[in-house]
Parts: sequence; structure tokens; C-alpha cells
Amino acid sequence: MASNGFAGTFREEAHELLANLESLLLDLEKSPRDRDLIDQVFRTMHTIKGSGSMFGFDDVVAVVHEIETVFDLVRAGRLEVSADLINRTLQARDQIRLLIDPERSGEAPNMALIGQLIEEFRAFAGQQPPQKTPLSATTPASPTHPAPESPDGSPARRQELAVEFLAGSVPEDRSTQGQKPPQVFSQPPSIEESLSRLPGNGPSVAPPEVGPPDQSAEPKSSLATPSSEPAIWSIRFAPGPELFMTGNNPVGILKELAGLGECEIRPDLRSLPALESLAPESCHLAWDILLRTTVDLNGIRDVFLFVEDHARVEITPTDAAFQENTEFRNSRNSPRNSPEAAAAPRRQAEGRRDLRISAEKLDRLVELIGELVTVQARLSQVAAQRSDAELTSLAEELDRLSGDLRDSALKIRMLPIGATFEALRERIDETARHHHKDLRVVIHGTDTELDKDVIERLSAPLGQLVRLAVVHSLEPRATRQSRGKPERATLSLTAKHFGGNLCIEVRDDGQGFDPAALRARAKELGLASPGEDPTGQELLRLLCQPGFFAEGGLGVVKAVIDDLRGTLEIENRPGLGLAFSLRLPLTLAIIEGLVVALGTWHFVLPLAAVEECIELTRQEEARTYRKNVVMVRDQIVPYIPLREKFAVDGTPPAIQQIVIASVGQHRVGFVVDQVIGEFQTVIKPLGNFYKNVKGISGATILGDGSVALIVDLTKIVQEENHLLDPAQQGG
Amino acid sequence: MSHRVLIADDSVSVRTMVAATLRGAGYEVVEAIDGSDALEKATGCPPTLVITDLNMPKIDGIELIRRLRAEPGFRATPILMLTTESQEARKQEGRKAGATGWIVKPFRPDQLLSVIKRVLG
Repeated sequence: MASNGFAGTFREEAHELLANLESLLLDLEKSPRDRDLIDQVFRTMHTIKGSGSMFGFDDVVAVVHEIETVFDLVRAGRLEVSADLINRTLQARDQIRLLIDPERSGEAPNMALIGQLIEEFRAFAGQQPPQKTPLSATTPASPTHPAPESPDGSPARRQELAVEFLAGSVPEDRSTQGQKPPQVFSQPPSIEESLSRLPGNGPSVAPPEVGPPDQSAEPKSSLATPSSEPAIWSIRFAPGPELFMTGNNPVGILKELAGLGECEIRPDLRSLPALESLAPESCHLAWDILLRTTVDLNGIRDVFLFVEDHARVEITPTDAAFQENTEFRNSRNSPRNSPEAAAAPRRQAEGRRDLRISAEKLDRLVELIGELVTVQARLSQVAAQRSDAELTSLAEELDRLSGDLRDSALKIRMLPIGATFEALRERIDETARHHHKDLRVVIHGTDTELDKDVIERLSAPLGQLVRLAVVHSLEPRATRQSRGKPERATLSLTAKHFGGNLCIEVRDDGQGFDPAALRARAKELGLASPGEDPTGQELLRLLCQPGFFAEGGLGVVKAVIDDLRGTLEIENRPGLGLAFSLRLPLTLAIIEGLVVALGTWHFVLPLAAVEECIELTRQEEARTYRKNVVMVRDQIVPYIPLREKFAVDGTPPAIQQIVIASVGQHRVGFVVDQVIGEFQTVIKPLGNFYKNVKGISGATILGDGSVALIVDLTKIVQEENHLLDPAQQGG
Repeated sequence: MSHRVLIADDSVSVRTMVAATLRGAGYEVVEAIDGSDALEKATGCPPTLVITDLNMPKIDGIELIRRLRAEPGFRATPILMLTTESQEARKQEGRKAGATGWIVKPFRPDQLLSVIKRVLG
């Protein structure tokens, strides 16, 4: 026990106090009403008791406690100092000195006398002398026949003392101030407990007090859970405005709670006033906490011990269903769980309450909304055909409502990407340790939300991207130093919404890929030699080759991203770093689409990518020598005739339409016969047989019940990549 | 940031034990032998936490708490009392005087540190 080293200090201190006590008592005998002397005697006893208890001198504490009680009565004017009291106290003082350090005194304490003195002090305090309880057969010695003892107070001697002092019955009222008697005496510990408090015998003390004074008398709550089974508790912690003025810190309390198990802390900002009327010394916040722990109710209440008078604390067991709460599970690693983050919360969390909904029910809801949107489209079409103003008005109203309903339902499926990023951080750290790379991870946009299905599928591809960055791009510390870079590399993960898509970027400040090394590796694998400095799609194609990297290439990543209708781009800056950019649709279920016609066929283009529509006349086509480029406000924009791409029969109209869209980093036009209009597009998969059709990502049902194919602009641009070649565009 | 803790106790053994525990945990410690000494040291070099025994000569713990709380600079400073189980009434007095919390003797070093962490955050 760490505090045992202080036993020697205590012995010295006690000797000094006891030496001084003698002269105090002699003076007190002459001036028995001297308040100052009485206070000093009391304080001496109190100090020896308090310090003795700290360092395992339980036998000393037991005697001193009786004397302290008597002098407390004297102090309160309820007992007179008598010559008898002075004599007994002097006798006790001598025995206490022997108990503390028999070696120094060369004499053993007189246990019989000590027992007798304790009874006499109890009598002074107006109590009945205790009835001796017969000692059990296992107790080795009786007070009248002290057992042989070692000078340092062997367990045998101390056990005897414990028996002696604890065997007496406990008087009903020993309190001098109306309070309940000290627990240690009214509830005698077992001999084992007493012995365990002695130096070298295990834990020296009972745990510190666990409740306010009136609470200790309360029965144990039936809500307390067995310590082996974790339970989930819902806790409401609402401090009064005066909390800070008591020196209490809610962050410390929240941190302590977080240390009890898995914890989710949510701030409640409803009482937060406007800045101009905010009193900075007042606490305006409250917290709702979900805690999964093996600690029982009393253990949790302990944490709030100091603030019970200054806060409303409600602790209730929650339904077991919360154990499977998706959000609780998903957000465990999220930084917003930290007490610091919770104590400085964002307004958007105001008044939030969560409800657990199964993913299946949510999917079903979105599916039904999809059906509703399809029916609504039909209704709009019928209303338009019949030129019925009332029906048209109703259809428009339904269109607005179904749009709002769709957006709300899709938002339910959205989860912040923060937890995925935090999990990635752990993987990055692990990979960096393994490859002896020193880096710091910077995360931006943890609150950016994305469809839960997309998030779930993103974990593996992102893991592969950061692995490639750490292993191939980041240089060792010494290399960075020699290149004049900061010794510690930086790897950033950024998420943001952009034009109806989610963009994720993995960027580092390492060395990127060395073009020479890439060419050498391509040669090794028998691949066509890439250009001097491969970039863009050429570089991606190379990195996607099976076996290009020992730790797996980009092929798997690209497959997942393609499947999610997303794009992957790479920016390699040799010597300066590497950046991977992912662009993903926010949802996989419903998109805003632009319906276009090609002959008798209808197609849908994702509206989020569409920038504008312009006309393409035959004269204009001829003027550019059929190079498939058009000038849009002094900028050359390449275009792709979708009629040719999808081999649609027939002749195009004299005036076609070019839908100009933003695809990746490029503006590209898509030539169609006619633009029909916007359409809420419920995406239906094409099924296994058609799923690999190039340039088509799915299908949808239009208002008239016909099927329209959804064009995958990204795939088409990738296939027609040569169009983006500046040389060709210039031609 | 290293916290400065003022420990006021007339018992040298307890004070030394508390100080050693705190120093071992990285806190800066200022020791005071009684309430009067504590008041002087507190105002000279304000601590971030005060730990005080209740029964001390000259100025006792309760009075120390009262006087510190009256100082504008100590209105929100955490103050912990060292009490014994028989001092319930004194403890309540201390709470009324403005004590933040308490720890009951006897206590182990780890228990002391855990209470300190709770109030310092």
C-alpha cells in the first residue's frame, strides 16, 4: 500500500502530539474551563484519529475515538473536566504511545488496561458500560490474557485488539451532535476486515463514503444490477444555474461516467439563452446520457454525489432493446461522444430524441414512397392530357407532398460518416505503425451524411485507399527530413456534399507514385508501357491491374465505387503527394432525373449533374467538321451523340438538344432528340441479366407506365475518354 | 496544463501523503500547515484546487472555505474537504460554506485522485 511509507511519519507526528498532550492536560487540570485548552485536546485526539486511520493504526483509532467523543462533550459544555477524566486521559495517552510504537518504548501496551479505559471513557460519555460478549472459539486470546506480540504489532496482537474493541455492544446514542454514530463503530467490521486495514494486509480502507449523509440510511434500490451483467441506464443530468459557483465541473462528471462503460452523451441546449442575456457564471446546459455498464445504481449515483444539491439527476434503467440501438452502436467511436465535445455542443442537437427503427422497415417505407412517386407521375400525366384544371392542381399538390415525403424518408436513412472515418483512423494508425511511418490524421466533415447502405459498403474501399497512401506515398521520417518536409506526414480525410453527390477525398503530403517505378512495375507484369507520367484514367487503369501492388490494388475499390454509381479519380503529384477523390450519389433509391427522348425511347439523366441545355443544329454540326465539340460561351465543350451510343434507329430531328452535364472534372454534352422534363426517378435495378449493360445504371417507370433507362453519364464519359483529349478538342 | 493544488492540513503525515500522491500524479502542490497559512498561500499564488482538513488551529477548514469563497477569484475554485465519518455536522457546515465536495478519511491515494479528477474535469 502506497500510504504505508507514511506510517513512520505518523508515528513521529503522534509522539509529538502525545508529548504536547501531557502538558495540555496538566494545564487543563489547573484551568478546567479553559476553552482553548479543551479545543487543543480535542483537536489532538481528532488529528491522531484521522491520521491513524489513514495509515492502518485501527487499534489506536479505536481508543482515541472514545477520548475524542468525551472531549467533544466537554467542548459542547455537556460535561465538566474532572481530575478523574484528566487521570484517565493521561493513562490512555501512555497506552496509545505504546500502541503506536512499542519498539521505541521498549514496553508492550497493557491490553487489559486499554479495555478498561475504553469502558471508562464510554461511561464518561454517559453510556452504559458495554456487556462483554463471549469470544468465539476461533479467537486466540482474551483481553485479560494478552497474547505474545511482536514489537511492530503482529497480526496476532492486532487481531486480539480487534476482538476486544469490537465485541462490546453498541449504545443507542453516542452522538454528541445529534448525528448518527460513526458507521465504523455502529457497524463493526469483521475481524478480517479490521486486519485487512493493517499495514501489509491488503486494502487499508473501506471505499470512501458513497452517498450524502441522509442517503446512507436508504435501502439499496431494487434497481441495482448485478455487477457481472451489463445494463443500460438512461441518465438525465440537469444542473442548476449555480453549479459552477460550487466549484463543480460537469465535464469531470461526464468523463467519470464515460469511464464506467460505453457511454453516449447528448447535450440539451433548450435552456441556453441568447448570447446577449447569457450569464457566463451560470450553467444553462443539461445532458441526456445513455450508459452501458456493469456498475450498479449506487455506483452511478456516486458520480453525482457532490452535485446532488445543485442538480436534478434522474437515473433509470432503459429497455433492453436499446442494446441494439443502431445509432448508439454506430456512434460509439464518434468524437461527439467525448465529454468535451458534449459540453460544447452544437445547436443542431437541440431537443433531439432518438427512436430505434429497423433497417427493413425503413427500406420498406422508401419502397412504398417509390411506388407513390410513380403513381403521382401517372396522375400528373393524366391531368395534363385531360386539361382538367382541378385535377392538375391536385396533381401538383400531390407532387409537392410526395417530393417532401421522399426527401424526409431518405434523410432517415442518412448517417454521418464520422464513425467510418474514426474507424479508418484506427486502421491508418495500425498500418503506419506496422510500416514505421509517422503521420497525423486530419479529418474534416464528420457530420456529412450519407445513405446507410453506401456508408456500409464504403468501409473496405476507403481502407484500401488509405493503406496504399500510407505504404506507397508516405516517406519515412528521415527521408522527409532530407527533402525539407515536416518530419510528420499528414493524411487528410475529407467529406463534403457537392452537387447532389458526396465527395470524399483521401489526400497526403507524401511522395506520391514515382512514374519510373510505375513503368518498371508495368514492364514486370508484362503490361503495355504507360506514358512518361501516367495520370488520370491511364494511371487508374494501371493501378487497377491485378497484382500491381502486393497489398491489393485499386481493382476492388473501383468495382465497389462503380457498383455504387460513383466515380474514383486519382491525382498523383510525384514528390508532393497523392489524392484519391470519390464521388458518390447520396442515395441509392430515388434521384431527381431529366427525361429525354431518343426516337421512341425514353432515357433519364441524373439531374444533379445537368448544368444546362442548348440546341444543336445540323449547320453547327457541319461547322465543327463533326468533331463533336460545341462552343458554349467561348468554351469548347465536347459532346457525345447518345443516338449513336445506344444505336437508336431512325433519323435525328433537324434541331437536337445538347444536355450539358458536369462529369468528374469535365463538362460534357449529351446529344438527345428532345428534352421532356424533370422527373422523380425511383431507381429499379436491371436484374442480373442486364446489369452489366454499359452506360445504363438502372431503369424507372414513367408516368404513362412505360420503362425508361437511366443513363450512367460517368461510364459513358470514361468510354468516350478520347473526346476529352485537348488536342482533339482544339481540332 | 498542470494544476496547482493547495493542501491544508495540520497533520504532517496526512499532508505529506496527499502531497506525495498529487506530485506523483503530476500536480503542482503547495502545502499549508493550517487555515491561516492556507489563506496566505492561496491569495499569493491562486491554486486551481484547494484540499483542506476541517479541524485546524488558527483558522479552521470551514472558515477557510468561507473566506476563500468571499474572494472573487475563488468563487468557482473547487474546494474539497477532508473529513472523518464522525464529522457529519461539520461536513454539512462545510457544504453550506461553499465546499465543492469531500473525501472521508481513511482514503487510498487512488480514491483521492479519482475525486480530484471528478472536480477538475
